[in-house]
Amino acid sequence: MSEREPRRPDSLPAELKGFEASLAALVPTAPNVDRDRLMFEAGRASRRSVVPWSIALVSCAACCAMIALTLLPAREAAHRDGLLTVRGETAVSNSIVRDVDAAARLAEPDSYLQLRRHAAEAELAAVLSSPRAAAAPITADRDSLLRELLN
Amino acid sequence: MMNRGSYVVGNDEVSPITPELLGSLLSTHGAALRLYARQFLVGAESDAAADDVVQETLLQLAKQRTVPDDPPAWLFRAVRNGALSVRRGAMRRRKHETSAATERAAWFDGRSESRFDAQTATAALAALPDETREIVVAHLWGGLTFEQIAGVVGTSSSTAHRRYEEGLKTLRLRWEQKNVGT
Repeated sequence: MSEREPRRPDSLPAELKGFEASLAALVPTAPNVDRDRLMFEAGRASRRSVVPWSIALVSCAACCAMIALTLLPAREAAHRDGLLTVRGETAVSNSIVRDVDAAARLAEPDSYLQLRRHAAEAELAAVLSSPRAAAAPITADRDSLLRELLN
Repeated sequence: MMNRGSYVVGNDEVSPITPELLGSLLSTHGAALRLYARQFLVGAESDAAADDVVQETLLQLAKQRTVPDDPPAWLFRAVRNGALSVRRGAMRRRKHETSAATERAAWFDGRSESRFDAQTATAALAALPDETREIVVAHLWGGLTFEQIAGVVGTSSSTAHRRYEEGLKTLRLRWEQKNVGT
């Protein structure tokens, strides 16, 4: 094994070092670049990092608004359709509908509440038209009686 | 070798290119980048083309979403790609021109405090093979390490160092021959 220390792979022979230093003293010509445009682009790029968050925030808000706009009218329509059906078919007052809190479900002809309401109406009609009722008139109005039956 | 600034930018850092960083890179590496671009180019418009390549590279850097891991190496690689692209286009356009028509402006500032004059150094450098010259320029004036150069030019660091040493030897030989001849 040689006693001589091997030269590092990234080092230069001594005779080239002085030459290298002389060459390195040469100064390359500066570039003729549009510094203002560069700075403008850099400034714009540094602001751009904020944009994705803004886009995400605005998109999220837009999605929420769209969902709200889609769902709210449908909910209102369900309630409104339920109330109209009740009014048209059975003449049950809005207060009774609110009491049972099932306007949408009442609109379904086969629902338990609908059947129950029909039964109550039939029962009430039978009671009101009976001879006994004619003999002893019932002072309460029909809606109150129906509410009592449904509750 | 010229002393260059360092940029502490880790992999997990997602900071954008700020005007301050760009200005610092331009001040520190601008001249070396121009020389690096210039040494790839031939023809009368090479100086302007080199400026354009540097300008476009810096604009390209400004548009990056994050700071590259090694901004100087990134810049040299991008300048190399840009300059080679320009050179290919120029060579296609000037295939009928003779090399005598390509006058070389000095690549260095004439006021440099070197024992070499700018014109002679330019001519000596220009005479080196491309793959040697670009390594000499990147290391000597660009301040890149041989590991960085290896990444930029796509070779090993030991090959980059060997070419650098060969380039210096060739330059010195030409310089000595010129001095003997004059």
